[in-house]
Amino acid sequence: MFDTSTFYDELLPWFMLFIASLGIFIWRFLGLILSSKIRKDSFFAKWINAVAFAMTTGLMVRIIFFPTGALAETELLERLIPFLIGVIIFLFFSRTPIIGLVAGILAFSSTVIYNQII
Amino acid sequence: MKKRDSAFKKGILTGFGFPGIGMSAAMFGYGVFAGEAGLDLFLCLGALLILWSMPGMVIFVSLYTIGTPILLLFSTVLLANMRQFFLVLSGMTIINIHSHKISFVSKLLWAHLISPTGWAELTKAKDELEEKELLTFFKGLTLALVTITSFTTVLGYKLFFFLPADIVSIPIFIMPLYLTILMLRAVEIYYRVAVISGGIICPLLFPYIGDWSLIIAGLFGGTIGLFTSYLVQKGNSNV
Repeated sequence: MFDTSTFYDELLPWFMLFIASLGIFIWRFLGLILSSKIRKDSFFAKWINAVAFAMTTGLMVRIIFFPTGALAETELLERLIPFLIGVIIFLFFSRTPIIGLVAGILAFSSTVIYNQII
Repeated sequence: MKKRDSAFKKGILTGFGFPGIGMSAAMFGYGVFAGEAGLDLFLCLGALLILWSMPGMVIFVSLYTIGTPILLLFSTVLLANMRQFFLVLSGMTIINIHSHKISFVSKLLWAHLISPTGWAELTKAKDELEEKELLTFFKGLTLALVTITSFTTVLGYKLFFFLPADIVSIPIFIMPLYLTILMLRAVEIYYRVAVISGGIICPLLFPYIGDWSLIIAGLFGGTIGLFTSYLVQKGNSNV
């Protein structure tokens, strides 16, 4: 006889994933619908872009201050100082952004590897 | 035709470059996290492609593994992902998606695949490509990002018990630094002010109001940016 409980057990995680995806889909759907009402060069479009710029930067800086997962295993200063080094070097060499990026990554990696060694 | 091919190629190359490395490093971390939590590999990959949002994925894995009720799972994901609204609204306006003769389902698919990395690359590409090429660029970029992140998610899932967490943190560090630098490259003064305000407000409020700090940082940062621009323009016209 077909065991329905096993069938439901296998489907349950995918059903939960579907429910979680609805929570994101709603925002994306609304974003797509409303984008048809906005003129690209309007004041409102500029504001929306500025909000997205501020949110993305906020999210990235938040990851440095309050990380989750593997990054949370490091100390705040171990993340913050290399991050600032990367940003400051970028501000000096803004035409070649890769210099700031590489400097920040090198500073962070050397701190992590140094901590592993000692 | 050639122009379209080059926009697509540019998207692919961008996706496999630093943006892809940064994003896939974060997904490597997600693979490690899902492996640690005991999630099935297919479900882990399914969550990556179906949710395509780091906060959404992390919340799903965390809450699913502790057996959270469905309504709580839905409302937590909903509240933590309001930023998707602004990213999609901004990204779809930049691409001018409604000027392309594609079906609504296709439009939904491209809206679904907007991520902070994808959106940030779009804001950069809009100054380098013609508007009608941006969708083709985004298709190439997304194809590369989906490929590389799927690969590194599986890699992280399979390798989670071999690697020390400190070493895993190195590739994960790339994404926040890369995207912050990308945001600071904005030329217009209102974007720059918005970037700095958002970067200050969000971590200050986060300990008190959690994920709402992101929405408030965005709304205040964006508004402060535009207000500053208005004041500067007014000052210039008075001179």
